[in-house]
Amino acid sequence: MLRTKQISYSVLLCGIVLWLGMFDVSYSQQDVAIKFWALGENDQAAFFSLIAKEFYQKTHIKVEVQPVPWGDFRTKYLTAMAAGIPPDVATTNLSGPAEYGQVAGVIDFQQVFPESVARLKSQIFEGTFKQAYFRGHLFGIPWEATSLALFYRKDIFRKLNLQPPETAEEMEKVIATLTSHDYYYGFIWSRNTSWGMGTFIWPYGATLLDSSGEHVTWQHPGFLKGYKNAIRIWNIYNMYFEKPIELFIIDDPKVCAPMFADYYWRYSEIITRAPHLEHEFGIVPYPYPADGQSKQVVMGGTNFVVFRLSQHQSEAMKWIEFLLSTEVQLKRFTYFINLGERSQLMLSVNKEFWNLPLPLPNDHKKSLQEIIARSFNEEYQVGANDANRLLEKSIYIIENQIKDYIAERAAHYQISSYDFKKKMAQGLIPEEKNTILAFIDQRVEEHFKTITPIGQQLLDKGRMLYKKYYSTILDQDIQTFENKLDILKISKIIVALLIAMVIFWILYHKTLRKYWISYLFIAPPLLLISVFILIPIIVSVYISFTKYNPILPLSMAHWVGLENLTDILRDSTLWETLYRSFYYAVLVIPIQLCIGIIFASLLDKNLFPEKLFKFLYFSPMVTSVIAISLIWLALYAGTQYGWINSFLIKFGLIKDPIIFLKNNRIFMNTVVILSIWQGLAFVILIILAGLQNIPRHLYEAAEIDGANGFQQFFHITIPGLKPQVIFLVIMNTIGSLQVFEQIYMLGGGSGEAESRFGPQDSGMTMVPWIYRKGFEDFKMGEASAIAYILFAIIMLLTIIYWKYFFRKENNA
Amino acid sequence: MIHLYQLRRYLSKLTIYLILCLGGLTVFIPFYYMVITSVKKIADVTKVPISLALDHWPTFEPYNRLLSEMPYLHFMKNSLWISLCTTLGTLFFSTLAGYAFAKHHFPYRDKIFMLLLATMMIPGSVLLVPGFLLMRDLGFINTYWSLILPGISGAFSVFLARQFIKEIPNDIIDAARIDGCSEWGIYYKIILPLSKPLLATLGILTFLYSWNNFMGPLLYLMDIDKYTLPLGIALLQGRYTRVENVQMAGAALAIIPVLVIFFFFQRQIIKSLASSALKE
Repeated sequence: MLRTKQISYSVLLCGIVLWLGMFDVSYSQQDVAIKFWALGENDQAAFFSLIAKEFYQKTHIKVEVQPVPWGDFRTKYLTAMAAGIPPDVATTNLSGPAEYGQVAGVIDFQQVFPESVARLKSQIFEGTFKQAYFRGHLFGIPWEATSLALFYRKDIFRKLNLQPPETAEEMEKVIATLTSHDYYYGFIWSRNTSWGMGTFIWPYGATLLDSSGEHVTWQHPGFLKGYKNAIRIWNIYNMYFEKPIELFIIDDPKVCAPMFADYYWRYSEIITRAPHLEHEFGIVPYPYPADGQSKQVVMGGTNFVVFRLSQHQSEAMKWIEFLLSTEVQLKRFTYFINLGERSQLMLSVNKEFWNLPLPLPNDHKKSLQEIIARSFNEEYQVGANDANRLLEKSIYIIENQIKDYIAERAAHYQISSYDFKKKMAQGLIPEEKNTILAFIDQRVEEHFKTITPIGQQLLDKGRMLYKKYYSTILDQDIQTFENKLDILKISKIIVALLIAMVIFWILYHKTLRKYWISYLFIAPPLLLISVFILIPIIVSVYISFTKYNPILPLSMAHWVGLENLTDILRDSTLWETLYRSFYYAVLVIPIQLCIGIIFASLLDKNLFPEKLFKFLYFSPMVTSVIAISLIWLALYAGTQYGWINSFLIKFGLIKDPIIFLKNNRIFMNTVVILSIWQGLAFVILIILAGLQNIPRHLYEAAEIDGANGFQQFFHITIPGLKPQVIFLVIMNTIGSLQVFEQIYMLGGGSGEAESRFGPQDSGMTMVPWIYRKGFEDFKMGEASAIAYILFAIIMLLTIIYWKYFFRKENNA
Repeated sequence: MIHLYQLRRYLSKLTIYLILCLGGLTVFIPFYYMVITSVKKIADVTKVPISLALDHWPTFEPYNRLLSEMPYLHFMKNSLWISLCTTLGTLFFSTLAGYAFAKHHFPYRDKIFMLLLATMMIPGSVLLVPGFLLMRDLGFINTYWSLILPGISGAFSVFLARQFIKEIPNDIIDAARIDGCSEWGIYYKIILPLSKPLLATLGILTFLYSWNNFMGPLLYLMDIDKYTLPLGIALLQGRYTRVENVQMAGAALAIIPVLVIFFFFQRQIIKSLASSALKE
């Protein structure tokens, strides 16, 4: 009876599984189909799919479009190239072509399609080509561009008798006027980076690196001047960062930001959200200083690449040319301008396009055309990644110092920082303003004196690595390396031999042969574990001693000995990362334990409705961290409508909304709160189990002795929970060291292209660091070395726990 | 005197209720926010001051938009398929091995078992880089094998199975053996039917782990029609747009089914999760 029931259940289950499996869609392969990965969100992909239909009618080439989110694209392209299954063509960020090209991941357009390139070059603005080149090879074709523009409210400007600024000096005057009249100035926060810094330093003839790419230019007078300007504008006036458009369209004078710097794609969002503003706002290129030399503006955008392993390169090239044609460009424009608030329209790089009649007011069109014509980007410089990150970090360090200083001065006058800045802008406290300006000057100069040599070292190191290991790749035949033996292949052979030997041994020995069925039973897990855990562990020991870029075959890994390890031990990031991990652990674990013990002992009383309480308290345990983080992301919104902010404001705890997720000083705390919320359930669960193990008679005896509830709690409950507490502390410490998902999601997740693990990497702990090194920076060797450091720490903790655990067991 | 005593008891009970409700509310609010936002129009979501309840009749537009723009149900199907395969595989192989480790006496048994236990100490994050290279070389990238096979190869499930099967009395097994039952027969006719609680526990743990796995799919899956649910949820976090109601619709579709299942099988699931504490 029981058996038939079980059989029928298993058959049913298998049936369901098979039935589900049949649903896998398989495409018919009659026409040529190219795979196209589009950087951006669904709306981008939706547009490309639309155009792909047209393209199919014309050429009978199918294009399968897949969106790749900004936050993931580095990892996705890297893993796809490394696995040898890249798409045919893709859009990447501006530095993508050079990054993939230098290790022969993508084709050189100039070499493969010279005629198409010649055609496109006459069609496209010259400045946009700069980053697509690497050492004379053209690895990318520009697709779209964007740059900072200044949006302003004509109605409010009229009221204040202001003109749209044409130079940086005028702009600062306008900002000062706004601040002194209780208005904000908006600046998109995410551009507050080394990249956005270009807007301020280029006009003075400085770049982040010199033109040869060999030296950082952080002592260049133009660099320091531009840097000081940026820091000053961002910090001594009342600024609104997170999403400036929200304040731009508000009419309430106390919170309005009548001028903001942002990208062009906000254009249609303004009209969608506030239709009455359609003729009441203007747009001008971001002003450059009157004493500057260059009028070029910093460009962002995307480039096309065609992958080396693609089988359909010429079809891919046709697709690129089709997309860049004037007619498709016009379609793209109308498509995105009508998307309204979700529009992600970047500027067209096609010159002819701008001569077409566009559905735009004339003055807007003129400004935009000027922006794109002046757009330009720094050449990709080998090995500059780490130096650039250092630079980004400095912006926040200096800004925080200045914020603190201003808060201190404001406290001295017993007013808020906001009012202090307003007073300063009104010119009421000129001596304060002068001291702050001097303070900024001094801080910037001091700071760059210290970090310039460090930046130079990082740059040298990056360049040296390239020169030593990768500079010859473009001239080599990669195919020959692909056929060479590498450690992975060797370890596979070794494992296969070992398995064969074991089987042979078992069959050969009489005593062992008798037990063959037992060995057969335990074989599958052992086999799987040796393949999926032991081989990787062996291989990763080897990799941690090499420099290895996974786009290349493993036989091209370069042995460097202990260099990775010593580099990491010397890197200040290790200590920062460890500090963050322990900060997280030190906050999460005790708080969780305290709250957990309280709630568990209350739940243990089994008060009605016991089931509902337990359901509520345990529910975070079964839901995925990713989904939970998505909810908290919305709760944390740094605007008035974010629930946490609005609760805090309602209860009078804060006056202005806190920008939780974009502030490097509080980001880690937001992760901590989320983790406590999510992890509490497990703590309660374990403690509850522990409580049930405490013998009841102890409480009864205590009651007879006259101990009250609190005394019982502290003298019986707490000591009785010792094993559970120790278990939780160790387990959660190990868990804390490996936290990833929450940081990934709250820190920008698949949404943000740069600074993925919190603003300014303020949420970067061990696993995110491994992820960054291995799957974003293509440095598998260093990633493995970090993994081993983590392994060592975890091992130590586990041994401590086992020692305790077994000692206890032996005593018992 | 009795009166005061009772009053104190009532008061303490009331405080306990208050604390419990307060804690419950804190757990509840994010879920509540999710549900309520997922049926609001975006204009109502971004309204200041916020409204805790619905201002208008619930709209299912966010759900429509989500499902029309993203193959969300397809992601769910993929996740279900991967999790089911992993779970079935784990159940079969770990009970089989657990049975051998618990009831068979063969040379090197305890040594092999200790070796198995030792692999539990290796944290998953160490395997990220070499694991990826291995999958690449095996040609498993962008296939479900890269998620299912490592999912099956856990020492913990074998450990759990062994601990459970050890408690099954030897007499039954010996009796069956005397009756001429083969080892497979014993496994199938005796061990499996007697290990139902174990199967439930293992099944729930493996399924939940596999269902919520994020890092694996993030690194191993390339084509969007192979994506799993957690990857799909992560995709909802747009770069330029913050469309809370659609995001919450996505979160709700992922979370509510799990919560419903949890509600009905609460006791069993909690028991299973508690036994995961045995790990190490």
